[in-house]
Amino acid sequence: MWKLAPALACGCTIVMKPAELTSLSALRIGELALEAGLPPGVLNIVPGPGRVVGDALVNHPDVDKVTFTGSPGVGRGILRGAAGNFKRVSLELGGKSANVIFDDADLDAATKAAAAGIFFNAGQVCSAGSRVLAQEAVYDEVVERLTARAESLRIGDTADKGTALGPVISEKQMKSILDYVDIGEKEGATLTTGGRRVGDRGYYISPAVFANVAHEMRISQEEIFGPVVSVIKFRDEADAARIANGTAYSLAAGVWSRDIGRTQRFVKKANAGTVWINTYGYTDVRLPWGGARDSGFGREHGAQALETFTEPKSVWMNLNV
Amino acid sequence: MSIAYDYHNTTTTAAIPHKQLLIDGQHVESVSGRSFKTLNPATEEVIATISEGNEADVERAVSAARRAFEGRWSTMRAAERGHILLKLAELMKQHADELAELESRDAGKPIAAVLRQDLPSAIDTLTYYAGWADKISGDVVSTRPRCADLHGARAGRRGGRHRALEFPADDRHVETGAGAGLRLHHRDEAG
Repeated sequence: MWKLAPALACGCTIVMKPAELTSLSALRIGELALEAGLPPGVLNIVPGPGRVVGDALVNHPDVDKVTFTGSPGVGRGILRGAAGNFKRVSLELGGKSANVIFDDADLDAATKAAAAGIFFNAGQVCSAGSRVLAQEAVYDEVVERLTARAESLRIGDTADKGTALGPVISEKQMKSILDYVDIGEKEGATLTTGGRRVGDRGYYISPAVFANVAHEMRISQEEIFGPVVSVIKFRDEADAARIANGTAYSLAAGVWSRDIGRTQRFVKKANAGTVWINTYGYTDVRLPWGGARDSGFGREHGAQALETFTEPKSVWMNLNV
Repeated sequence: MSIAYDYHNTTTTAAIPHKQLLIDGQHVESVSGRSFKTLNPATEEVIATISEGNEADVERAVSAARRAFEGRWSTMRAAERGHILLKLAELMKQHADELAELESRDAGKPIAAVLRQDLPSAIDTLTYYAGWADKISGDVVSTRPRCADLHGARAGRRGGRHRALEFPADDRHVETGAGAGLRLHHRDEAG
């Protein structure tokens, strides 16, 4: 809806390729759109594999603009394909967002929010707080609290309203995430909880907390897109900023401290399209959303989005006629 | 055409719904006739088969989008576009339980999260942009005397081409039909 709504509001017409693994909602909304009176052809939906349907759209000479949410690898391919007719491109790609907890933070609130920030939707969120940076003095307590939160999450049937953690999207993703857990252990990080398949039906993974993670480790640099958090120790403000900014991504960050100056200094230094202060994860269509580098470019939401779906025209009119 | 989902029957003897492409207002099979299965990640059961598109279907879809862009969607009042989006938001609210359950099964998301977060957020986004539909306009910029210089926004699309914007010379206010409102104010006349 983040893409459909502004495009339609601007008077665009659309060919949509929904994610192959989750096409049903999009198709149902397409049906409702017709019922709402959307004229035929305004919204077209073509499910299918990215490399076939997506490529065809990206390469089509009569398509003016492409907007994409997904992995940096695919994003790169889209940019290349768009070069054909210089399509306008918006990309919302990956993240490895840092949730930074200073020693004067409200640790209860910070760790509850940090756990929600990584385990919501089993970590399958572009802005997941997949790194928690904890200042030296509170590091051990942060690890303990995150571990306890992870273990308290109810994993279960997604149709059950009491379930907090569901499966990951596919078998392929499940394998990839379990591989990363393996990599983390081999790199020398300490798995304090989780990181194993749960049951033998459904792609469930128990939420994982890695302690003693070094900034350069793969589990600290690469997007896992699963319920796995890496907890990294930092010394001071400069160290926190260096580590927070030290990945290829720049989608979002969080900072926890009761010191206003400290939070503002972090906001200033953070390479992130969105920064949360003493909270995490909120988005609203009224606030710009996006990042840079491996997080993509351009901003969704708000009035910004309208500019990405319209083409300016300058007109001179002689009134002396 | 709407397809009834049997949410309560998850045994493999149940008929599995088949979903088609949506092109030019019609539900159609892909040109190749191929389909793929989609699973519920929580149970690994097949919950639907979906017609699988390829380049030929993209071609049909882009053509349909072009025709629609140059048709009613362009010529209708911007406010009416907004009304249609609001109607869609209303339908989503009416079908909230159905949509939430569908998304929960298809994506493996806990239903509480979909009801609390995903679905309200989608409806809010749609409602918000519905309000923008008739507020997209341009500027009049002062450069030379006896000249109105307009900077307007023209709707682009996935598949668009240039649309001519016309304004009758004796109208003070001109609003074009599609996603581009140009308001022409003469400097010596009040607002």
